[in-house]
Amino acid sequence: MAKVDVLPLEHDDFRDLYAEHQARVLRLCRLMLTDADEAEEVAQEIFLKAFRFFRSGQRPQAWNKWLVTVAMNACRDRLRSSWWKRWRGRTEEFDEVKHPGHGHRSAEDDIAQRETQRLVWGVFGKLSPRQREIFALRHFEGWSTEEVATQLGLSQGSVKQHLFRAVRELRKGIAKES
Amino acid sequence: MNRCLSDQALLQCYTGDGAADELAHLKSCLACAGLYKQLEGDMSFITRALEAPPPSHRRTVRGFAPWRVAVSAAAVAAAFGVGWSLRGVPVGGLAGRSTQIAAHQRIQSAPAIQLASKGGPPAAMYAAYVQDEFSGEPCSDANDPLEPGCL
Repeated sequence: MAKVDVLPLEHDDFRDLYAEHQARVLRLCRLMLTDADEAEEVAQEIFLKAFRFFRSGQRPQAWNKWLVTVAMNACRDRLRSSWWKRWRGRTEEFDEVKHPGHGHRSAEDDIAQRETQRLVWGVFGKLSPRQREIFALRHFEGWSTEEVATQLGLSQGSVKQHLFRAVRELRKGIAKES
Repeated sequence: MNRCLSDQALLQCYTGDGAADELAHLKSCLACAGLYKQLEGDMSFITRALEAPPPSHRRTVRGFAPWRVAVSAAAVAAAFGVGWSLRGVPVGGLAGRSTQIAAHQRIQSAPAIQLASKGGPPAAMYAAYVQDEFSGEPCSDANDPLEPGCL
């Protein structure tokens, strides 16, 4: 099947930008929202916004920080706006394999790994949005405490406290569940 | 530094925010080194699990969970109760309602009291009073279509 190009050639730069950052933005959205489907929707919205920004000829100092800021705002908006949906809709875990495991692993290994992921995501989802934000930026984005504090408008001590509590809750929750 | 590191200090060492003396202690203390290893293992386990996408959630729009039904029913019942208790209250509020009723009763019962005290009511007045009390207002004009309830 022939590949369909949706972007004109002059947007090759944007295509590179997308390829470079898409996985990271999606992971950040997943960590913030703890829901795979919502994270994908929000990530698409973020790149649509990025594309409009790109097409207008504007360029941020660093795309990485710009995308993280936009992603965090979009996720906060989504969390704020979805309270009714969350209250109304009974949510059930849907055992969908989006990324099938490696071919050499046995079915038992896959089940065990999925169970571990379910456990960790369950505990992670119980953290406050602030703790999840800080954990994601510090551990997954590799930002320094100072950068996180500046981004979130907090003191460095506060960032360290949030991170410590998040890690403590995660370790405690996993130890209890397992 | 002789005292062992707290969990928070260990985490700070792990994230690269540890002070020089804490890092030096970590190198020299076996107990703290063991705890640090455990922290490293836990963090690696957590990070690996969170690298994978979270379980998808299916939203069931049909049907409500039992506790939600109970909460909704309680809210509806409370709203109905409040509405029921306020029925018939004039828009102006409840203030002055009892005094209005008392004044109305005074006006309505006055002829009966007066007639009884004077020993014998004129029949027409008494009839009008009884009619007023039990059947409706006496007619000012028997053919008035705007007073259908009068006698």
